Amino acid sequence: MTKVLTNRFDLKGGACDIDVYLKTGGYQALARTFKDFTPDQVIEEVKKSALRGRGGAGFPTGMKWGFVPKESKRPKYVVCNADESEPGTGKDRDLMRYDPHLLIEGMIIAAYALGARDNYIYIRGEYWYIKEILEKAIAQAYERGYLGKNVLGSGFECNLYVHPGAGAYICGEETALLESLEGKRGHPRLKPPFPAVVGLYGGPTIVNNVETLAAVPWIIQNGGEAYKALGTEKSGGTKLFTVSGHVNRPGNYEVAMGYPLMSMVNNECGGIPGGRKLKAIIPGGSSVPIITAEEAEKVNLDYESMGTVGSMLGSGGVIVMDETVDIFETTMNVTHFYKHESCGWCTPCREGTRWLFKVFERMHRYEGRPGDVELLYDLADKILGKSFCPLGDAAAMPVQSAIQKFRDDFDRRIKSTLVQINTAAD
Amino acid sequence: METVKITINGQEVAAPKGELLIEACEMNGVYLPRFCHFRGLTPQASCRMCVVRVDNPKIPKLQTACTMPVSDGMVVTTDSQEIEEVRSAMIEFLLSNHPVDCPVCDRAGECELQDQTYGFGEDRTRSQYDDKENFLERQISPFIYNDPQRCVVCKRCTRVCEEWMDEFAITTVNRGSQTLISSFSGWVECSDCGNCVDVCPTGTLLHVPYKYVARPWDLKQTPTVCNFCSDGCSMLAGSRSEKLIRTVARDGRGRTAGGINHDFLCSLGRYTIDFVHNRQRVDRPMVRRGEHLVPATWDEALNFVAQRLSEIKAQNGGESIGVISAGRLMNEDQYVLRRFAEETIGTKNADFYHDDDEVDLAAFFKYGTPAIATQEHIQSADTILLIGSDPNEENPLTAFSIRWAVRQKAARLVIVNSMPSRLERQAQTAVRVREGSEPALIHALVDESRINDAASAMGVDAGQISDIRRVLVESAKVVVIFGDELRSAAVEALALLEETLATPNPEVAEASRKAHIDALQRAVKSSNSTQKPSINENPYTYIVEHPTLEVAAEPVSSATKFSFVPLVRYSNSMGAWQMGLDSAGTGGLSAQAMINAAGGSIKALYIAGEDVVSKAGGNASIVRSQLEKLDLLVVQEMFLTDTAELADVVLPVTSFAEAQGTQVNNGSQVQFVRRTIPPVGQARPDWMIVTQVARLMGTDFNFQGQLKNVFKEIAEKIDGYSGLSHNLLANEGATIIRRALPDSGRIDHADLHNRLAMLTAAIDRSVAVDSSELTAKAGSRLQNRYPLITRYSEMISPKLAEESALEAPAPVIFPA
Repeated sequence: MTKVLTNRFDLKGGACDIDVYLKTGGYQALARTFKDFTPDQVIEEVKKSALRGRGGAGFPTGMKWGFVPKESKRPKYVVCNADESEPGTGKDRDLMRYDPHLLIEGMIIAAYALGARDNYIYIRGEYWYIKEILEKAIAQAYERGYLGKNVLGSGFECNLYVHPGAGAYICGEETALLESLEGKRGHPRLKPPFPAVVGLYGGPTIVNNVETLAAVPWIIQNGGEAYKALGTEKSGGTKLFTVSGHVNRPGNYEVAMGYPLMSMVNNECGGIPGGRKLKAIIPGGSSVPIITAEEAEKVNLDYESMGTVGSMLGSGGVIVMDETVDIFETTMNVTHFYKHESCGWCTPCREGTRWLFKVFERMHRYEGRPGDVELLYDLADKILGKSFCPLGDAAAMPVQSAIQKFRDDFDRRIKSTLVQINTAAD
Repeated sequence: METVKITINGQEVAAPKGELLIEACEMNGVYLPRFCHFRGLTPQASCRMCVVRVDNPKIPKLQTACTMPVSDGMVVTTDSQEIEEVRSAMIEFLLSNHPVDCPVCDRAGECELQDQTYGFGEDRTRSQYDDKENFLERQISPFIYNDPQRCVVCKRCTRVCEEWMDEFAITTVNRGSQTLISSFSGWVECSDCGNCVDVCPTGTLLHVPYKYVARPWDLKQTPTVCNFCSDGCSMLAGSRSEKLIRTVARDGRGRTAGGINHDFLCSLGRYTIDFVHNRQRVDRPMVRRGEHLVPATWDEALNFVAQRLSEIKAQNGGESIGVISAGRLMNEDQYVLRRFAEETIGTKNADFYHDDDEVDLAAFFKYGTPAIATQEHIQSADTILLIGSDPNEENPLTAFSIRWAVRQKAARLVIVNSMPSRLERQAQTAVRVREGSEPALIHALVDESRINDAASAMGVDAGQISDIRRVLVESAKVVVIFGDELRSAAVEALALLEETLATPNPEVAEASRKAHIDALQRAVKSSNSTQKPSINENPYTYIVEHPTLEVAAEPVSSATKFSFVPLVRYSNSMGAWQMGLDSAGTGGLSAQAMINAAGGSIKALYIAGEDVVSKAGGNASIVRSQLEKLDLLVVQEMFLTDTAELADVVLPVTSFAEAQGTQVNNGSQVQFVRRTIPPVGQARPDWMIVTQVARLMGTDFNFQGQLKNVFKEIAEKIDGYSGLSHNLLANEGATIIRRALPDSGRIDHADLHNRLAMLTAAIDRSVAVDSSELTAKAGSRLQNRYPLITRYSEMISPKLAEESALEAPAPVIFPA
């Protein structure tokens, strides 16, 4: 299979050194960009590739780049979203620590396409050691003239800065990320205007995931059509998945879009340990609806196929759970995460996640009251679609899908004596 | 104003173009529930109460009406089943952790959460007792209580603090359901304006002095006008059992006092009102018997005053008696005092007390009445020139208007000041000059050839001055706000600005404005749709790019390019001038001259409401010994001030809360002050006492004891007041007093330029320019400015002392 992103993973970090990176074909896409492409042609090529945002939402990348106005009074920016905080996802970490120059190259090409001089990598605070790797790589790129006042003698100026976050999940949301990058409290911004028009410091800004930007050099080298051909009609190329949970070989795997989910679990990851049965899979990080073992058999790893079972590809964090797992506990864990990470901006998310967790807590002690499962479902329903940013939806969807598909695990938590007392009173 | 047609619930209505949908609905009688939306604050869309369905243009998700500008042909549904479900869900969420302790909450009765629960919520909740997390109630400033559990995190308070006050004193701390309104240390250091408490929709923030004092429905709320600085804010005075309990700009139910100040009040207007019921109020007349002032009846005191004044008048002539009033007395008082001086006593020596370091109104009005800018003018100005004053400390509403103009209308703010001011953050150009050298700027503005000279006198670069001059020339409308530091000739010369700084043609002004906005848009500064600017960033950049977020009000038209705001010191200094109680008008001695002549040509003084001893500051002992030389000193006063203690007779007067009348603010707007409570003790209004003394001395003013007759006469006699009446003012609110514009033919240019040159030459060039940052606590200058009131306010004075003595308590940290 053609690899786009993980070609240098086998070097175990050797590619952090620019010489190794150059020897293995690095920075050739950049050279080619300056030689053969105008900025518009780069955007055109990315559009052709059907590359979609790998951060979770899956928005077509070329279209996003096309929203940036040609003429702007303020500077434009390219911002890389490396605030990888989705539970179950660790793909960007490996991309950055095994192949930092790939990201840097992708960012320079994006910056060239959009005419951005100053660009930022907003990295998760916990990835401090990767920040050091990136900074070393950036220093090397400056040394060799890939960054700086005059990139490869083209006259194009490009600067790159790494900015660490401080551990808030919300800062992975693109507008909250920009707020944080500006030095403010990480709260999402009102949209519209979208960042492509009014973003960082009021300038047009493109915020892309690490994986998205890392795919760009390959697209330039091999053409958009070739990239698209790797995947399906609507979901081009390959994608990196982080598989965790009950599999024999958890890890990051790059597979082509449209690859069957169970093939990845059984082949790449070596199946489920101890010969136990599969119970459920969260296919795209903790925010997406959970799917059952039966549904998992049917789906392929692309945006459209996932939609058919009511779930999403998300950020590609596949969490595999075998028959020993109590889905109630899993969902409670996820809810705790969202309760803790809700930024507090809007009512439904702030109050809803807290209330959800309170109900989970008493059910966890087997003290659930009759009607609590319905309450959970209804609370999630009242959050869904009403919050200021997608984080509310992310908190609500796992709860709803878990109740729909694994109702038994929830019902077990209701204290039945209460039912009897109530009945007796009637 | 341009309007568009929109359809709300099947009914086609008109709405101003670019208006927010929530406001457009309200204009057309459809109230949408809201917590976070507040007129005049940036949209935030966090409470999710105002959701609507927009069918044209078709939008799949429910939209918040508080962020959506109306567009032509928009079709909106606000009352469907799905919307009602969302609203009741949000109410249920908000109440899920709310203590529902309405019986002990001061906000109950004017709580928006209560109202909206009744209006849009369910009658039951599924939240149970063990679902709630408890937070501790705590005091976060000398004036603010905070109960975090009642909070709906609408952030009106933090936005008010940041956008209106530019103080950034409170913010949200922690995250998610743990979010609290607090400062980072847990103790709030600010100017104590209290606006955050007024805009709070729930009982989260409460006024300390009002805590457990009254229920809102027990209060009689009287719209009246503040009595402190010259801005003249309207406020609702709440009284109960004949006691003044609180003043607010806006009660929790959104009822506003109306008037010129939006929903704005400052710390003085809000927290010093307890002086009204201070136990030290003089509650009965007092007459000196030997060493001591002893209580007397009104008859005794008035007869004594009338008899002694008559005697002195008979012995030494009327000119030996002086009448001094205070700038805070109302128009009616000033007018009656003037008639008293002229007719009863027959003296020209009548003056309202104003120091040399106050704005020289006589010079300002020398050639006529220049166009005076109201708050509305300031808010829609193209360029604002602020000279020699810090409104942020002295006239908080003016500072609010300046910030508003800069933020919402991208006005250019030019500051020329010898002292630091927080407004410098908003300024396009802020020039710090030598102390006392502000008049040189006017010299440079009216005479281009003197720029170099003036610049060296001011201790700045000549280029800066010519830049300021260029900006003023290129602006279409300029509001000049000037304060104490501009001295007589410079104040006079303001009349010349109109001709010397005329815009060559409208295109120049337009091009210059375009260039200004363009520069703003190019500037790499923080932009933000929903939140606030960071400190020191220009806040308005986003608004400029998205004018729909703030509907551009029709620019207030004024015939002249320049209009002025003289930042006079007292609530009715302007009115005192208009009533003619000014030595420059009467041709007699000024207040200070009368005191100096005490014991000489002046034998008796009749002082109404001014503490001339304390006012003299370092010269207090001289003034005291001067007053001791008098044969008779009559003082009308609320308290036994340093001056009153020297008096032969002290006549107790009513405070602003107990008296009716009119007063004129620095925008030349006359406003009606309503009586809130009955007089304390035996106090009588100033005008009534004077009328009674006059009658005993044989002059009957024919007011028949009726205040409205006084005003009727003012309307007949005083220029600009014709057609006005108390009824009209009570209904219409602030009304501008218009008088003839300056007659440039009367200006002796050569003489004026000479005097300006002398002013510039007299500047001491050895003084260093003060380039320090602002260090004093915000608002402290304001509090020091009205010692009579603040000294007798137990809310402000001990708190001020206490606060400096106490260390801030350790921050309360809640577990995440």
